[in-house]
Amino acid sequence: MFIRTEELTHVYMPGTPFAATALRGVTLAIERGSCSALIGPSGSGKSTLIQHLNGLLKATAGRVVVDGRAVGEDRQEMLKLRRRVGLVFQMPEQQFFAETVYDEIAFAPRNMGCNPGAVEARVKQALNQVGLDYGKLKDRSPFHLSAGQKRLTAVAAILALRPEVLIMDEPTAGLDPANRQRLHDLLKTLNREAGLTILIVTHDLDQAAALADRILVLNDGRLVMSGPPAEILTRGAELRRLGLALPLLSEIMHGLSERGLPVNTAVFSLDQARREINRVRKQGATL
Amino acid sequence: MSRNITLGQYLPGDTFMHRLNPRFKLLSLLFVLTALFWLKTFTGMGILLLLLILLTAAARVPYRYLLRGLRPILYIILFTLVIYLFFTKGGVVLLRVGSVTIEQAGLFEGVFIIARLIALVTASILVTLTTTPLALTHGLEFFLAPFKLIRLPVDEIAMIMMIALRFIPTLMEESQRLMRAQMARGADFETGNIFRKARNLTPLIVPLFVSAFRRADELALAMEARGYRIGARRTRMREETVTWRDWIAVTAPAALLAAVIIYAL
Repeated sequence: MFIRTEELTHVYMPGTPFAATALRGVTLAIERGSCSALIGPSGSGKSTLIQHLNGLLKATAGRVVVDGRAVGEDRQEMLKLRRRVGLVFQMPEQQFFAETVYDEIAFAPRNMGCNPGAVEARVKQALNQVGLDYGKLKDRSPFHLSAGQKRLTAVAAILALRPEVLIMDEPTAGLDPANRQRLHDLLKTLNREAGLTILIVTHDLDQAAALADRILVLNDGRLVMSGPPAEILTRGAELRRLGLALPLLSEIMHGLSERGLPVNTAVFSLDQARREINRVRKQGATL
Repeated sequence: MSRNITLGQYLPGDTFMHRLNPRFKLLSLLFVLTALFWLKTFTGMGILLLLLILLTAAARVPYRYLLRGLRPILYIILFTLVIYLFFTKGGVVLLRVGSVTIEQAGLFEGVFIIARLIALVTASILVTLTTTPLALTHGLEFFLAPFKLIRLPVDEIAMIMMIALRFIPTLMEESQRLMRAQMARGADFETGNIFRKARNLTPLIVPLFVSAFRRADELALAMEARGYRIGARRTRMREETVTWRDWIAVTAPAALLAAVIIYAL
């Protein structure tokens, strides 16, 4: 297992009247090269959980193991870990501070101590990976880009670390459909072609089902379900109880099956759904 | 997080101290502080300290919160005590090392002064711990009201204070989040000398300013959309009520002050 948490518990401001338990004994595993989605209603502890995976938050109890090493106190180890596990925060464009896109993306490699040549190579590669034009954008102010470009630049700023794992908190929050699609495609490419291990945090099951090969469901600080999308999506009633909306396709297939059409409800694309419905119709089933 | 914020150190609770009308609470604090300065005897100081201990217990404030509030003045306390011990002379000589003496008067006065300091801070902390920043501002607004006569925009000043107090925790939270976000990009806020540290803060301060300005803009718009106009008379959704408890809370310290003055305690 590449990343593993064992009975991970986190309490914010322990020992004060403001103490709040965000995670209650979460044990999970993420495999190298996988693309997982962590979903759950607001306040379920998703953001707290991912910040443990690169050591930004310290566990109150339990531990996190990355590539066989427990995340501990050692500063050097911690810095190394943060390079390997890249974490893109929610609305990452809010962290912009540099005057140019180049400097913004160069921040991470410079912090790593890369020489100017290596920094440039990393910036170029990162912008390339997210599909932005290095020549056109490098001298622009990151504050004056379009919303989609801003988000991609923020992702590039993390990719410049050349991480092995990319964690994104609400990757498409506040983006329009076209940019959302673009980011989806980017995440897929990074996973399949660049071989990055990906973990996205979302409360959108549609997004989770479309992208991930594994879904982890968090509720009230506990891991309540985990498995491939096909398996998770068959537990519609439970998901609805958690306040998570099923993908529209699943709703339709569930509806058909409840009304007596013997369809397989585990479909993730319009195409699959059409084929599935045609299949049962050919077998003579009607509503 | 908000552990480090001294301004918003309100401790939620539902005791009579929490429920007191903020104006009355501030007024009684004023009486207690005046009494403290008027006190001359250990008897009087003892009564007042006992009263503060009882109030702390009644407000269910853990003692460690008071101790934490006293920490910043620890050196002032020590310094004061040392000065009094060595420089106030009179009474029996308690200790003599060469030509340096510690005499009875020095010990007594030193202890008295630091008791006064501690009581002073404790009383103030007790009020801020049991009053929301918002209520505190309402209280202050009332006491500033006379300045309206000299055309001081008291309502606006109170509004500014209220907004500032309201946004301190928000900005603290935001800066924590930003700090972690930049640390994920390898930023270092801990090592290096002071100049390096200051320069390393740029990735924190620029986004913080950007978001503060954006927030201010949005807030101004939202306030105007709800009819806020400068100079207009505002009413409150929750009028502060005055109960017999408030009258007791203000007359008791007033009586104490009177007793201190009359009986020269």
